[in-house]
Amino acid sequence: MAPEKYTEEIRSEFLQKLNLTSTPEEIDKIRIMYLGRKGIITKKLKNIKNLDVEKRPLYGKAMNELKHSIENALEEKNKEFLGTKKLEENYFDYTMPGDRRWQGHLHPLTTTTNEIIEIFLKMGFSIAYGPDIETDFYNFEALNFPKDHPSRDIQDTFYLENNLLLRTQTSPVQIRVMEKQKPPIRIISPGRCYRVDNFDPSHSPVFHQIESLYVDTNVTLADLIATLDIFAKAIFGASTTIKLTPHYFPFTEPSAELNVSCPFCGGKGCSTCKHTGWIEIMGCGMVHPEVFKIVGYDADKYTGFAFGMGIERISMLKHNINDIRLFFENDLRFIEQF
Amino acid sequence: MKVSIDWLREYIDIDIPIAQLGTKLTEQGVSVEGITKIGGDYIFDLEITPNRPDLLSVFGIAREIKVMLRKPFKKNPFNTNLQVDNSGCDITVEIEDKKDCPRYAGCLLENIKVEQSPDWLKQRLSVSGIRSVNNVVDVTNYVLLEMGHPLHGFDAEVIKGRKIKVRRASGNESIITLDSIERKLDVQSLVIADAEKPIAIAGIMGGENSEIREETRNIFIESAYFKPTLIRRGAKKFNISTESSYRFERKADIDGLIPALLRAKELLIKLCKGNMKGGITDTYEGKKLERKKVNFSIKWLNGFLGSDFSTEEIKKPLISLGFDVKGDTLLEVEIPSFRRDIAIKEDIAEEVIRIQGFEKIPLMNRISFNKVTSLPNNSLKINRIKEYFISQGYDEAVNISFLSSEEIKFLNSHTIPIEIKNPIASNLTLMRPTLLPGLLKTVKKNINIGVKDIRIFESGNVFIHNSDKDKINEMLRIAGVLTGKVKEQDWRGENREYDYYDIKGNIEGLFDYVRIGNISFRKKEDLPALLKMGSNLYIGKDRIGYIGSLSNKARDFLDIPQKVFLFELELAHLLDHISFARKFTTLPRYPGVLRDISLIVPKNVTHQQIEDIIKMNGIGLVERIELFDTYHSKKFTNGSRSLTYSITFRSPKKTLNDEKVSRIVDGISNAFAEKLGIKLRGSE
Repeated sequence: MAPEKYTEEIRSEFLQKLNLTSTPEEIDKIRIMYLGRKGIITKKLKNIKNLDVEKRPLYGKAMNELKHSIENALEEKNKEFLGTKKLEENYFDYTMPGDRRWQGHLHPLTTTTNEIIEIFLKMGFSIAYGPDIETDFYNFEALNFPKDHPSRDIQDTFYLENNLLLRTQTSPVQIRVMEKQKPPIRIISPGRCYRVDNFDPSHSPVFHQIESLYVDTNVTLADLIATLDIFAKAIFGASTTIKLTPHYFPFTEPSAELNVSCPFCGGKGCSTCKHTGWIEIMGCGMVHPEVFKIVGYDADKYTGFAFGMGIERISMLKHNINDIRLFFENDLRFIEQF
Repeated sequence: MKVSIDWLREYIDIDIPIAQLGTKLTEQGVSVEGITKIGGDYIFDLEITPNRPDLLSVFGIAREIKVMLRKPFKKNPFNTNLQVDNSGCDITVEIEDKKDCPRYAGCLLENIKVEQSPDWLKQRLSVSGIRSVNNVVDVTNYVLLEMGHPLHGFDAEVIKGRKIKVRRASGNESIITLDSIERKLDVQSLVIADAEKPIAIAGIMGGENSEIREETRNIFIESAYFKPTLIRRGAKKFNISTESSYRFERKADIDGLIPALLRAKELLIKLCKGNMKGGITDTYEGKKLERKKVNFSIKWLNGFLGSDFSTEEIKKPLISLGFDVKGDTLLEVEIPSFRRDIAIKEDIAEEVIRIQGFEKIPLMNRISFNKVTSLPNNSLKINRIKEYFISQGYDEAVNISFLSSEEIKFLNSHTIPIEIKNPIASNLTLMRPTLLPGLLKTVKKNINIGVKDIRIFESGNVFIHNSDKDKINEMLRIAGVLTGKVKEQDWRGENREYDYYDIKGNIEGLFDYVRIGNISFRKKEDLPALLKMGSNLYIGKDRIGYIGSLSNKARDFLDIPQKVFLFELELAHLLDHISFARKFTTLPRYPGVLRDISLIVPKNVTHQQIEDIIKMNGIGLVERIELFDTYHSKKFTNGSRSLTYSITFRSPKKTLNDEKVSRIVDGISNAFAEKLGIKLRGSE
């Protein structure tokens, strides 16, 4: 028999046996069976000296190769239980926690602001910004709040040095934009506002608004309503309906509040909407001609609409947040929910 | 304002359910905030906007309901066809300035009996939130609630000289008002005085000296119109808001004051007995105020509203509201005296739409999409930066802009903070000059609730006086804090705490992300006092912020037990350096050659110096320098340390051979020896 064929038979028999092992103890038994002092290979190697002189080198080489390959196979098999493969495959548990990095979260005021901005960008509005610290002129006078007039009581104001104040609304941005730019104007202006309010579940002395202004020839109340309808459906869902109720703001006439069908009960009435089916989300109206006069627009030629909403309020409604203070307390367990 | 439905029913039949009445009033602009049932009556709690003083009475609300239900009034206290005897009484009225008091009327009642009011009257006042005093005061309050016009009763016997003077107070006068408080008057204060002294602060509160007492027999009832801004200033100055001042500062109905006076007289004679002596004194002398007229076309109104109302649909609600309307396609609307808020055609448009209902406006979309808009560049950049921090595991915080003086003190900065004149609390008195106190408060708060591994950032405005001190700069900044463990404890066992190099890495990563190359960390300027082991950050020559660890002192002050690392950057400056333009650089065609060098570096030499020398002497072929090992050994003298760098050399033109690279390394080595006096330990 040719030496290769002979060793091949031994090898295949060995591999069959090895394949049947499932513990390190069984592998060891096979090792002893082949490579032990009285093992099959050991015996065969000893027997070589009994062969013909000319056959010895060939058989010797073949047997040594066989011995090596058996040793290698045993080692490999052992690794399955003892080496790296032990953890990765034998102890592989696909349910163990993966290795995760910390995940950051945007503040819900940022996500809500971005969401609102997105909607208006699609409608062709641009974005304008203004300062937090304002003068009486921009915050009140130019917005048709007369001096010594009760309408100023609507918004109690924080005052700083030199008669400066913290803006109570983002509307001063409207004036700043109109002073610099001729119609058509179609802007939204997000920003931080301040009012003398103590903290409670629905008030904060610092809050955020998004204000909008659209001025052109022939802007109508119908345009305002259509814009608000698109916005309400985009932000609270396609089945949302809107209702305007008359209100008063010095800088718009007519003025109204926008109510949306309650996002929680769909208008059937629940505790959030105080069983009315409606939730008020913003003030709006047609720009008062006095405001146009102050910025030097021809009030006979141009009309416009404006509206403004509290970002916290929108965010609270969207996410079912019941306390405005949560936005400013920065409890990470809150922020990480968004 | 609270209003009783039973009372309303005296003027108008209400034949719809109460809840529906509430909803409809709100939809008409008279916002019903709440409905309370008291016995068989319902009380509406109304929010009346400051432009509608005409709604500050039961009758005013009845007027709105009349329009809503399209019903006639059952009675109208203003529509008196009674003869008015304005022959005057023996108390004369003198007005210093007609601008301060355009109209003053009154009458004298004698032999009255001051006593408790009957129960029905007490009840009416009580549901409206007014305390019963005596029948005279109660009647004046009743008429105020019913008709919206404030009245005041004086004890006629104390009016010295039988003379009423409406005048500004002199600088040194004072008066004890009905609430027993002595009020110092000034030349801005409008008073009702007799021949000698003030007996009331006009439109705000009466004086104790002329108060109606049990023994009062003769009274003078005042019904007047005062300049609204004067009343408002007075009410603010004395810090009192009364039912009277509230109505006067919103503009009372100048034509309505005689009907109110007559109504009071009638009730007083009924309840307090007595009789009127003489006629009514009226400084108005029968002149009638010219009524305002507003002209507009039906076409304009429909064009402005985007509506399709017929002439009738426009005229009817206006007429019902008490306007006189003339015309057909062009309308002339005459405004009644009680609607001083109506002055322009847009006001009329509001009246029409609030009565017709906004839902009559056809819902169509005429919004044109003629302009492509996108976020302004700076907003995009800020979003990009926020995204970066989120990707690095930072949560975004939002703090309010106010700080306490202690929080400023601990910052130990020399900037004078901007003060809020009327803060809501003693710990919210200053505008923040930095974002750090807010973030540190956030850290402390979260540690207290058991969240100890914290990565947060915040962007927002800080407020700082500019160099000439009289102007305030609003500066947009971004700041962040790292504290706690690098990873959540897990089975793989990596559990290191954050250190300076983590926050530095985040900042370097940010600049890499927004492609700002020329940044450096330097220690030149003073760092904020609350930082230790930190550095200033520069873009080119601009100082853009700082990073570092919170000093132990600050940690003690804040009682934060763990190490805290922070940064604050001038976001606005940063934005200026960011560009979204990207130019592709050809990918390298030739392989790079790696060389590791090792140096023993004296304590005063920084990594930056070494990196600079490598770059400067790399003849433009140094692609990358990586510090990959540092160690200290007692064998090194003077606190030296060993630094090992891996340098990648690459030429865009050819494959660098060993010889060439060795020559460069030799050059670098010489530069180290020359500039820093240090030798390479070896290179390979």
